[in-house]
Amino acid sequence: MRKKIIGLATLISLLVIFLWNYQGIEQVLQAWLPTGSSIFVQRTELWTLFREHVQLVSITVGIALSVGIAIAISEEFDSTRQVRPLLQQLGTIFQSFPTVAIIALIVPLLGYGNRAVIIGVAIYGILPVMQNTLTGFEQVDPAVIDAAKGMGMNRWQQIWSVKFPLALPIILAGLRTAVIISISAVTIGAAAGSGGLGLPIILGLRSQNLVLILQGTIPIALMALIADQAFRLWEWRLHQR
Amino acid sequence: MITLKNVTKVYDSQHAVIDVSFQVEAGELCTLIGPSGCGKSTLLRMLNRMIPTSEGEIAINNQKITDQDEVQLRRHIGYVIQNVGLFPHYTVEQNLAIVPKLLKKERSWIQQRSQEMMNLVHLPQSYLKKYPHELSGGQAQRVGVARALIADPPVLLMDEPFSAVDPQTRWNLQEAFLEIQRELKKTVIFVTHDIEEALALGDSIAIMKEGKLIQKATPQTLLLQPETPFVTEFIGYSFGVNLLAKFQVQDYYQPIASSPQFEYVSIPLQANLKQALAQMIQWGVDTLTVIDTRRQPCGMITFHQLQAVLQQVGENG
Repeated sequence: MRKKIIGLATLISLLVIFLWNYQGIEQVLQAWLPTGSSIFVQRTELWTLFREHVQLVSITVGIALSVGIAIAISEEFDSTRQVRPLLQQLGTIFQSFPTVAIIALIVPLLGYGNRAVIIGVAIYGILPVMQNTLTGFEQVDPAVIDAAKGMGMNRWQQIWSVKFPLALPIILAGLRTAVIISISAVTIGAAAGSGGLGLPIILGLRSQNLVLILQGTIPIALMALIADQAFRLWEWRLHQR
Repeated sequence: MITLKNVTKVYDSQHAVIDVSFQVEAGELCTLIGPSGCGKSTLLRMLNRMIPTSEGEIAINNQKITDQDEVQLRRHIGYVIQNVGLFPHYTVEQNLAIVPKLLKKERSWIQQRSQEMMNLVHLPQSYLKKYPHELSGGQAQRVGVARALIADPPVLLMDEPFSAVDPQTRWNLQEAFLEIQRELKKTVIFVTHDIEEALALGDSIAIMKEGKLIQKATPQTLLLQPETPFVTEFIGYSFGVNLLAKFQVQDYYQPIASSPQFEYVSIPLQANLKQALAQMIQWGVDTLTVIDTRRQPCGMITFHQLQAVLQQVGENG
């Protein structure tokens, strides 16, 4: 417990130091690494890029979370239970698609920009949330559901008071996957015209500027690690009860 | 009072329950028994509409169950199942509060009732704060019974509630439940697959086979007037002896005035007739001296009296 919190705090402070002190870090890096041909690019401040990235991730994960759970809940009202295996299969197949492919497919439809990236990444994030919610609901002890129903809980009460809280650790694991996918997918989204920390990476690749690439990759890697650790901590806390 | 009239359940042209009719009086504990797959659990679950009825009618206290909203109906019927089904993320106290909260009872009412329920099922008040995983199987089922009784429903449905625990615990649970039932006089249908449990608890026993009700009667009637050979076969040869366990020596012995001579073999006043029989067989006598709590002889009981008890169908059945 203690170790996990310390690890998480270290990661967060590293990210904060990187973002606040970038000027200094950049100077150190430039002394050691090739900066490539110095084409002039309009430089957005790193802090702004970070904020954009976080916004994009929050929006896509928000959509993924609400749609994923909504689909799983609506499946609870399907008494035939025939759609469930279909959804599960769809989820598995869809997840083997590369993210780039989905974004590439959506760009011609919606054009360049944030909208295409948000929708593409959200579709991608829906699946782990939906699958885990379905699995979580299925894993609730049937005796508990039977008792809940037999005591006179209606369907919503059964979902809200019983299934959802008991499935929460599994749903959180799905949410964690969605967040991490989203953090990396939004990076690729920069190629499709969205903002975020993917921007310096793409610029850096084009101009062979390793410092610029690191400007994007380091905070992204830290964000992914922080998200992973934070969710694991939360899941772990839930298991303790 | 629970009334079933020509109740039938069909699953994809398979008959799970066929034309079952019987009545359970208010305050009666009826055990429902039969070989596995005979439809007893299906029938029980039709009573609170967990399973819809295909044909026939079920009424609780003269109200057809189909006339009420199914969710509302269930809130007024106690329900205890084999695997208890306590909510693992709720404390015992929160588990007890589920039905009262659905019925919109006040907090203070719930709190007071919870404490009463813990006393009723002989669990310490400190257990209210525990989580289900901290309880033993027997304790969990006590909470299960308390949870079903807290809102004081007139009817209690129990689906093999004591079959997942070890024999000693089961026996304790049966004793505790009988004591509660004597006090509260609920109308109970209790599904079991154990004939000894059916006999120990039931005022009446309903025997089912292949979806049909074979006979519903008091234990004495089943013993002496079985409607089919299956009944005799099903209840088994020791049924009569086990039935004796339901009668107390103090209700059947002859007080001292009418029995001047004493036998050496004795039986306490609080013993049951099965124990008296065991004493007689063990010592090879047909008369026992009955002794009171101070171990003073106060009367006697004979083998013929034991026989007579099992013959009293006309009076009790």
